[in-house]
Amino acid sequence: MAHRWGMVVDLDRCTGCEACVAACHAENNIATVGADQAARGRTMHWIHVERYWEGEFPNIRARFQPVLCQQCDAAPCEPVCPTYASYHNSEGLNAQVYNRCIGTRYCANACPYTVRYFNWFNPAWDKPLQLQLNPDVSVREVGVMEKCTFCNQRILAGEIKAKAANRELQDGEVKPACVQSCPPTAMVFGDLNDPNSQVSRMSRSVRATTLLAEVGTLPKVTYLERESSHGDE
Amino acid sequence: MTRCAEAITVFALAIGAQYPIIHLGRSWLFFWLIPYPSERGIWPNFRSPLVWDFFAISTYLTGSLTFLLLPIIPDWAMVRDRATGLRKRIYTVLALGWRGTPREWHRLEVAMRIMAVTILPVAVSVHTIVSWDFAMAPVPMWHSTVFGPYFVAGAIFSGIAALIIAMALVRKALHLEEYLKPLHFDNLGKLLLVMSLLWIYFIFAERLTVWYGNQPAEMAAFWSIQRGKFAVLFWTMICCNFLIPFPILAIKKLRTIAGTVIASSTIVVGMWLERFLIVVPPLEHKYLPYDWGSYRPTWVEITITVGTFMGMILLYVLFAKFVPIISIWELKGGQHAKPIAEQANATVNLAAQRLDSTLPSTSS
Repeated sequence: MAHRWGMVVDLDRCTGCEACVAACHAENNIATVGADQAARGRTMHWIHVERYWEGEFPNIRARFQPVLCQQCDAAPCEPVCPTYASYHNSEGLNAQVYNRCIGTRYCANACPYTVRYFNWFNPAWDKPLQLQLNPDVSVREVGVMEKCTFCNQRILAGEIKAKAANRELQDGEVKPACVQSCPPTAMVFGDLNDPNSQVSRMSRSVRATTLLAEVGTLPKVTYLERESSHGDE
Repeated sequence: MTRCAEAITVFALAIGAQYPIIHLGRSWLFFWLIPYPSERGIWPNFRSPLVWDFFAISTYLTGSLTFLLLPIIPDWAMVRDRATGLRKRIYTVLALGWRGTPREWHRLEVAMRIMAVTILPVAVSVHTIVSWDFAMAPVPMWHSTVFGPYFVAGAIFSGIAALIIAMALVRKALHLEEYLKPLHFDNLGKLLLVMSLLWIYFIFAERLTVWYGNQPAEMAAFWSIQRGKFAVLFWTMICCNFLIPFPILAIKKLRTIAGTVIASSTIVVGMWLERFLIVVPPLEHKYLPYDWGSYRPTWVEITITVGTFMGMILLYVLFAKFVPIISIWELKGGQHAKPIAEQANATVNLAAQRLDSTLPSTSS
């Protein structure tokens, strides 16, 4: 059976440490843009932790919510792309084909989660940082869009390894960089087509919600709402 | 008058069509929107409004250019017949071998009749599809059914305003007072008045619907426009597009050439502000407040904008210099040229003699 990759993020566990952001940058060769460009909103954090304040002082609490591409089943970014650079692959991922992308940025406008990023410049790394580039991930040139791939390179590597050993891919065998690096294990990744996978079981939780469900994008990232309500910690 | 207007359409479209390409990340690959059997083995995505846009704009540009150039042919032929030297060689090429035979006149007339009918639905479709580039994306304030007719009305509105300004300038610069009469401006002023009312109706309907809908995501963009940091621009727009031009155009005494030009000038500014307010505030206020941003133009963007404004003026001035801006043969044949070929032919000769001295492009 084909895989259908999904993720669960437990907001009760997320501490907002942003280890996922750093790990994602390192794994996926994401360039940084510098302070001036960041002030123009041109950063390219494929995953970022959104911080919201709940309540009024002194009864106030931070809410951390890691937001990455939700890999929507009804993704608004896909139909608007004139060149099929943004398309739905056989494992349900919103793939981005960099070579097809001409940089209309229409997908970025259409995305309700604002998780698609434009390369305003050719990427560059200060020496010796170029030595830590991941050879499994292509570096994107100026003028194309990029976004979270659920670490597709890791998924493919896991599938190849399992096939070579003539066995099925085990639940939890493939972990995207953000999931692997999360200290409080707030994030779980796996196959939603397998009803017994951890991600499937957790996404059936009573706490399960999706982000901006009202927009009708059918995301494959599920958030587990916080159990402890405001003020009774 | 048709030619004054059609030239605006063609040049505005030619410049406007560059903007999507300027905006591309990899501009040099814009032709990937064209469906052709490519080495990439892939067609453009026909579900994408940008592909519709590509077809709409190229169709409209082709149609407008044909509509502009067809009736110039007899005029160019006339210039060819009277010019000498290099000028004669150039206009000989431009006149496309026009001899003024009855058959040629008949064909020109049939072609013009077909074009006049076809260009209308094409014009409606191009402005609708441009609006759909916005409306098809689930962006707060963009995703609206009113956008199609709203953009069509806005295009006619700003188009008439630009036409009035251009006509007044051409009238002054080329001394065409005899041909562009106050009556023309009066009538165009009435049309502009209707469009101003239609525009204010559309914006009222759109705003009221959003306000009552009270969707949290839409309200963020809505309030930033109504009373947030874009409020000054919004109310300037309302003044420019309605409050100032409405009395000028409604009161008969004020609907003079000067009056309509003042009204048109504020409308052109107001309609630019309208486009800015459609594009920027909603993108600054998408669904998740964490991602809200603040747009300020870079010097590159400002330069491109100013450059294209100037480019438009330059193209229009050059056009008025090298092409009879008022159709000579149509003017002398009456508003609707007679289908009888000989008569039209005679008219052209007569008109040419009369107008030879008034047109700087053919004399000097």
